[in-house]
Parts: sequence; C-alpha cells; structure tokens
Amino acid sequence: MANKIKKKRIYFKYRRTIQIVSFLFLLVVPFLNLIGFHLFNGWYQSLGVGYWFIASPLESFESFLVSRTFFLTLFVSFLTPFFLAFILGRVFCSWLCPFGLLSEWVSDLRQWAYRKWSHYHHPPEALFRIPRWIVWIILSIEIIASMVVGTSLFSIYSPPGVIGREAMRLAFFHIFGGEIIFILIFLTFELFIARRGFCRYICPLGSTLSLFGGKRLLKVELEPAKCLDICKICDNHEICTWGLMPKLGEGSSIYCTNCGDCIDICPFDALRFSWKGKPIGLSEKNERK
Amino acid sequence: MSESKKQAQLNRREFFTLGFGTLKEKVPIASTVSSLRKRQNRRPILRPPGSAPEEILAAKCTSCGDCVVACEFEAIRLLDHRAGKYQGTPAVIPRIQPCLYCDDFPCVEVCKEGALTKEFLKMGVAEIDTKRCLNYNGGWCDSCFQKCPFSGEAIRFEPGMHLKIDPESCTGCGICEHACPVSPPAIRIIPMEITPAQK
Repeated sequence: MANKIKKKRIYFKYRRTIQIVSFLFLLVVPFLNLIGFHLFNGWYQSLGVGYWFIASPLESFESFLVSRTFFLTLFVSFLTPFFLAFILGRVFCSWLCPFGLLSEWVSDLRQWAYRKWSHYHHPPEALFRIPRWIVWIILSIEIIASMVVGTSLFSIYSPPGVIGREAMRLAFFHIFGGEIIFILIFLTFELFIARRGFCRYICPLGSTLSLFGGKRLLKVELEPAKCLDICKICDNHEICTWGLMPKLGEGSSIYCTNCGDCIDICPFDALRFSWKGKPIGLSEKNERK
Repeated sequence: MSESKKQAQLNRREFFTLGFGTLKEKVPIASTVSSLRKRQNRRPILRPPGSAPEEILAAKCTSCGDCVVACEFEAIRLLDHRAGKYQGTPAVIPRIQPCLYCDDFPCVEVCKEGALTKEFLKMGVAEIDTKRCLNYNGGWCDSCFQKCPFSGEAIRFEPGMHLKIDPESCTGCGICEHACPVSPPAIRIIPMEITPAQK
C-alpha cells in the first residue's frame, strides 16, 4: 500500500494548513464583522479585503449574461480569480476551497471504510463509470438554465458560497438557511457514490477555472530519467484524489489542480512542479534519504 | 345512489385540490414549489436603497451578503429558499428593523455586482390603510408622525385628523411602519417599481 512508504508529505503539510486557515477564515469573518472589524467581508463568492474586491468568476459571468449590463466593479473583481487561475491553474479547488477540505475528509473516510469493511484492495472510484467530460455538459446546462430562469443558479448551490453564507446567517440572525442541505447532499453523494464526485464530475466553478487554466504556467511534470518504469505508485488512484494519472502526463492536463499529492508520494523525485517548463520545488525535499 | 354516498364522492378537480392541499401542508418541498409558481402574485419585496430593478435584481445579485454585513443596524436580511429564484437577494423588513438611511450608504459602497447603485436611492412610498389607522376610526395616534425623519414634509396632518403622505419627499425608509402600534401595521411601504424602461 502506498501509505506504508515513509516520506515527508511536504506539500501536503502546507496545503492542509492553508485549507484549514481558509475554512476558519470563513467562519470567523462574520463574527469579526459583528464586533465592528470591517477589513474583511464576504466569502469566496465575493470577498472584499478593504477596497480590493474579488468575485467568483462563474457567478459574475452568469450575472453578466442574465442582466446584460456591464458593471465595471464586477469586471474588476472578476480579474483576480481569472489571473490566479490563468497563471497557477485550478489552485482554488485544492488549496482554498472550504468544500474541498470537507470533501477530502469524506474521501479519506470512504477509503478507510472500504478497506475496513469490504474485500476491495483498491476501493473503486465510483459505483459506476462516470466520464470526466461530463463537467463540460453540466457547465453548459448550468449557464443555459441560468439564462432561462433569469438568475445566477450557481449562487444558490455553490458549496463555498453556501458555507460562507450560512456562517454569516448564523452570526447575524442565529439561524441556518435551507440551502445548507446542498452541502449534505453533495457530501453524501461523495461518500456513497463517487469519490470526490461533486468536485470531479459536477462542479461548474471548477470546470470554469479549468478552462481559464488551460495554458497555465505552473504544472506537474514528469522527469522520465528519474522515473522507474515498474513503479506505479502515482498511477494508483488512491494518491490523486482527482483520479488522474501523472505518469501518463495528466499532471499537465486541464483537470489537474496542482495539489502536489503525487509529488509528495513519488519516491524518486521524478514528479515535480514546473514553472514554464523549468523544474521548481521546495528545498526540503532533497534532504530526504 | 344514496344521499350520503353522493356527498362522499369527489369530482376529479376537488380530489386533486384536496390531495395536493394536504401534501402542501405536510411536505415543505411541495410548498416551496408552489411558492415558485405563485411568485407573480406575491407581495412586492421591499429592497434596500439603490437596488436594481426587480426584473434584473435576481440576475445581478450573487447573494454574497456583503450588504448585510455592511449594514450597521442589521436592517438588511437575505431572503431564504422560500423566495424561489429570489433566494439570497437582500430585503428590508421594516417591522423588524427599518432602514435608517446612512449618509454614505455603506451597503451600496460594498456591492460589487451592481445590484445596489447610487441611482435609485428611494425605496418606496408609505401608504396608509384607512380601515385600520386609528385616526380614521375615531381614535388619535401620531406615532408615525413623531418618528418620521421628515415629519411635516413627508407626512403631515390634514384637517379632520387625517394623515397625508407626500410621495415626493417620502423615502420609504419604513420607520413609520416600524412605529405603527396597530398590528398588522396600518401604514405600509409600497416598494418602488422601477422598470428597465424607466432606467
């Protein structure tokens, strides 16, 4: 089993710290606002740091399509996530998204439960085969349905948005809205049907970010000289929670989120982050025996 | 066919009305769906100052809640799932907390979607229900007149103890509705209906 190889999970350490900080940030900000600290407000649907506004790209785009009016502030707030995704790829999904953290925990729970109570050596990714290109169909349906209904539909069920909104509702009005049920539905789907199913096969925001990051600068690349042919440790589906195979070069496909889990697990340092084709990485990695 | 049996029979329409009526009471989802259907007939929602026309508000607003956070007086609330596609849009419920019209409009300042702009800062116009207002029913009350920030201009007493509202100077903040001792309130804010054509 992959987990038995002792190795420092260096990127994982940083990534999990950032994820937990970003999750707590969402929960704490409404309470800070409540006591009069207004530097930060909002959440990942639309975040304001002072006068630096950041708006979620999919909702902004839908809002533009449906209302058919150009609003400069919205366009400027759209630029930050756009350039983040354009340069670094889908890093929001694996490094910042609060639902991603919950989803990874559910995924760990799923793998643990499969190993404990079933005969599977490698737990299946999903109960039935779901093609990966289905995200594009769902993105198209989502945008067309938004235009039919006349509102930005993703703002209703967007998991990072719902988590932040419910935290705000709890802080200000001491109740939860009905939309919190979406989080429970998606987590149940991920637990019982497909591993990280929402993030992989449904999330329209993720596929939008994928589109933006098609020509990104930061990629996961394989150094064939260091790679051992018979080693299949990174192709093992348990490593990549997104079900990609970095050995086949899927680290530079548009679905990769640059989470660095495969880099952490590689025993020969053959996989590494590359910036415009040049290998970069953290220095601690080389000290490993 | 006996008389009692005839009474027990329902025709198809009655059967479905009764059946779905019970379903609506028992199952919250069904009532949500029916509230979606009825949105044409719903009472207009009072929006915060500067909100975009109702037709494109749901499109403009991404339900981020920045205005809720920015409001010092907690006057703005987000509608929940019962509002259908208007879920997450901001609303003011004057009976709970009226809008106090801050000088710098922090709610408008923080809105980055363009759902709240400084173009239409008027929220609505107050309207008196003469069937319920104490002054029209042999009583005497001046709660709304006392509390109104523009009393004398926006709301004034006419001969015969009748209240008159000037639609020009009334901003529709809802302080009068908040102050009204009658329940349900005898003075209500009728939200402004701004169509895109007027814009």
